[in-house]
Amino acid sequence: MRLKNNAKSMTSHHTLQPEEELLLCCARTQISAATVERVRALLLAGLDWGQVIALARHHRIQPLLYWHLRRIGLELVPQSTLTELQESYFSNAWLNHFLNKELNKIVCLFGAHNILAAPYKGPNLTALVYGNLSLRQSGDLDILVREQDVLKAKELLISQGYRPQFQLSEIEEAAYLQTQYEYNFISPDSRVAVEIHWGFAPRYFAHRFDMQQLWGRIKTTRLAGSKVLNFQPEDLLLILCIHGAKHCWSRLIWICDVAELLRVYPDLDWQQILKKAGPLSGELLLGLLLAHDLLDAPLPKEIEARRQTEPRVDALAVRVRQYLFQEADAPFERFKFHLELRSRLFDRVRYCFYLVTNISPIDLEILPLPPSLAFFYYPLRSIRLLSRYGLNPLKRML
Amino acid sequence: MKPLARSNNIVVEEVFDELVIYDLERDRVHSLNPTAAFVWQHCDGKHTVDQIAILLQQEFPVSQAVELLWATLDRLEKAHLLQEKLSQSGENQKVYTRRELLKMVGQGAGMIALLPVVKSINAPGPTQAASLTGEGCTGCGGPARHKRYEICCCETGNGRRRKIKCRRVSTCHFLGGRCV
Repeated sequence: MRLKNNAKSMTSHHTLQPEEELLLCCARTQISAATVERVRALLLAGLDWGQVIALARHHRIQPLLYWHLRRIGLELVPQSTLTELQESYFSNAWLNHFLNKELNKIVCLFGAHNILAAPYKGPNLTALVYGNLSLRQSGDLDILVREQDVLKAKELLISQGYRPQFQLSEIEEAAYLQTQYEYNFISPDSRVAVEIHWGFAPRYFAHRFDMQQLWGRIKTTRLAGSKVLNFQPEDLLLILCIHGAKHCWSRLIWICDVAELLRVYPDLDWQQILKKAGPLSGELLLGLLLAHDLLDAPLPKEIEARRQTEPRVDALAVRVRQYLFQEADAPFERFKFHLELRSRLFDRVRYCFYLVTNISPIDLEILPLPPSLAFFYYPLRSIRLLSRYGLNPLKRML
Repeated sequence: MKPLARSNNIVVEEVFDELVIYDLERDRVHSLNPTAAFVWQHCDGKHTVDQIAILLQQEFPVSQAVELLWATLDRLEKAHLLQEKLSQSGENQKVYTRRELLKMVGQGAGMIALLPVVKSINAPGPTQAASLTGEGCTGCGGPARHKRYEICCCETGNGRRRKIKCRRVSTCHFLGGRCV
């Protein structure tokens, strides 16, 4: 454990490894004079550069790390490390420009067929929030479409050579669309992964956005030279917090996204955000606390006040800070985390219920059954989830 | 002769003292030092080679501006950053190597920095793209233990790697955080 349990601010930094602290200092587009001094002190003290690079790669903040080290510590960083980071920066920037071009192509194609498409995350978020396509690592293209347009979007992508991640029969596909929230495709040269979304989290995540209202609030803006549909910043903040919570905030880049959004939009309507968040306020609060505690993002007084009344979320924020730099991938911990994020017993039960009954393509693949035996998928999924989430912790306990 | 810089399918960005050109057509990234960047930015189809040489001499303290310019144009051309191939005539036909240029302009540290540099790297391919975006997988090379799975080596966090099972793949790797 590298952070104190009661740590709530950056004063907890002294318990971090210097490599981890360097990452926290660099995971932002703008650095204060005090942070510059801290980075210089860390560089002068000496670092395990292999560890720094590995951490930056995992947390997807290599471009920001290069950006700040090049500016602050050119003479204090080994040349080989700087070259490695520079090449990674250039390659990532190239990839983002490439993805952006592909994104524009897809959005135009959808537009020509009357499909409303709102890209989010990926190059779109990078341009909007980081202001520079080179500063954020993106791996895929996330595009939100209306639920009724998903199959039309699928056909259009297939017509461009994309192939779906899962080959589903018509019946399976209908069930998939009802229970899932994204359909994934790979480009012909395997370079681009496109995720067509009609929601932001699996059904077992329990709380869903009112998508109809969301579509009503989306506006056309010009970004990176193209006209695109964009979310209101208040909606985008909530979407980023849901996404981070879904992945238990295991990567710094997701916290960085929230912090940068708060920096770019200092005048968000917090009353409106809290009203929109409704049952998702736990996810929202957690994202904001992490952005504040780890990356110095400003915390509005409305959220400060909410923090005092939600010790449960505060405790979760402390937990995230504890495991952020520890080895990830503990399915049972993720399950526990998602449960604890829900304040009401009803929501926890609903989470468990949907988790078990949400048949996924992986379940269909493991044991293909005829439609008449489809009900067997429920016990099979329960067994699969138990082996994934439950057996190992049980074995450890025994 | 009026050299013209390529403008289609490229994206240009200034990164500190370098000009970086992302070639989306040829999957390459070129970083140009200030001398090469100056020349490339003046290849606008309006300035002649002689005019660019004069501008180069005004901008940088070099005596052999014409030779330096041709060496730069040669490097830019090899990197496919010019619209058309250029041909020299008369006594300037020779394209000088870096060593020869160094002899001409002098060996001082300031002079070395003036030599044109066009550093090129390959843009990420499918597997590289995935690993660059954080979570990478490579095939372990060993036989799959289960006919339904391929076994891949993946980064799980903090630079550690472990084996995972990927479904429906012949050459497994992660793209966008998923097995494809």
